[in-house]
Amino acid sequence: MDYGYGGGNQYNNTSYGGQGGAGGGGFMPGSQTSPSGAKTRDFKDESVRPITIKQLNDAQDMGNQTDFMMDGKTFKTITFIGQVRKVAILETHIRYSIDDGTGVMEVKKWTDSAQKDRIQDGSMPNLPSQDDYVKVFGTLKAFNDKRHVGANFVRKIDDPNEIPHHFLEATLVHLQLTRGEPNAGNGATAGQNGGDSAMYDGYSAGAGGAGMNPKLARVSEHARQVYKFLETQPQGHEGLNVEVIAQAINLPINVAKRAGDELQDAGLTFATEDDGTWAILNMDI
Amino acid sequence: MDSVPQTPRINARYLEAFKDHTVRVVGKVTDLRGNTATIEADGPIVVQLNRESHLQLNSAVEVVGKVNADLSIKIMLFTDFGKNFDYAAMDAVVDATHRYKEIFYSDT
Repeated sequence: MDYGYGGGNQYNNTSYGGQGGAGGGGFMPGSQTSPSGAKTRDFKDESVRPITIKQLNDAQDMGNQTDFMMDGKTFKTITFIGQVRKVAILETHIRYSIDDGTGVMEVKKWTDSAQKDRIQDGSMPNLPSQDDYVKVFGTLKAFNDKRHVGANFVRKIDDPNEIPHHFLEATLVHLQLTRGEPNAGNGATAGQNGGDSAMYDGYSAGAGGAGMNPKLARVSEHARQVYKFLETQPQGHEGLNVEVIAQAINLPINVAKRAGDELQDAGLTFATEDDGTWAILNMDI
Repeated sequence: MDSVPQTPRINARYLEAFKDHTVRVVGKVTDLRGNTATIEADGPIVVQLNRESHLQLNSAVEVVGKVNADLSIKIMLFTDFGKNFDYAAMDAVVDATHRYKEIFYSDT
């Protein structure tokens, strides 16, 4: 069982004081890495995927009880929001039964003895209880054909608006995987109505299709213009000055400066000889 | 997985289609009298309360319950969502639930 004892050691080495409760832990680096270690895997598998419980129940088991696939893609770490139906505090873990309206999933949050003592004497803050809405972050497992999620954390949600946000995000990711990025060839699904396009706006504005740096989809139109101009210039580490850029693409200097700053903040460019001169930050070389 | 209980998220527009089903509705409590409440969820819905339901007027509430033949909902469980709830976001979720139902519910 790969979720077991790496996690336990970690708890022994850290102080729980800062952890804030059963839900509090944050990220445990141990569980982020592939259990099979050396095997290289698609980096994209490691991104956190927002899902519904129905998707977890429907996910295709790849045969080894830890790898699953949905929408044609394997996944590791998932996150979902649901309502606690049952809580059982056991010797080594807390077992929750969580219902998100699309299905029910058993979730196990491993605990060590210090945490258990705090749970028993009631000093564990924010311990989720029945009917609480919680956010779960973990990985799907199967054991004797029964699925459960091994949780890194189970935390009570702070704001009920997290619930619609989560379900819209899960829908967005599902659609991106099954139908591709909006405006990338298939415009039919995106922007069909106001509700949908509002969801996509951040991604679709000016999206130039495959191959474009996704960060570029989130910056302003001026910033994109500046970036595209920089791309057309001979690549070097000395960069181009804001005055040259402004003149070349016919923008007022202050506008070009703001656009350049925006690109730098977005991690797309870096300042070279002064804070008005930028070069493209190329991660591929 | 037929045995998995599902409670699809709906609003007033979907009541007819979900008669006799257990559903989830988020709405603003607009009226409370005796054993019934009215909530606004893209249209008014009458909710038949039980002894444990203490809804707050003008607050957002999530009701899990069964849709009766007269399109009222018999409450099973409720959760208060407070006064700063984004109803438009929830309407978008209801829309997505039925438009892309493959990730939300199975046909019964």
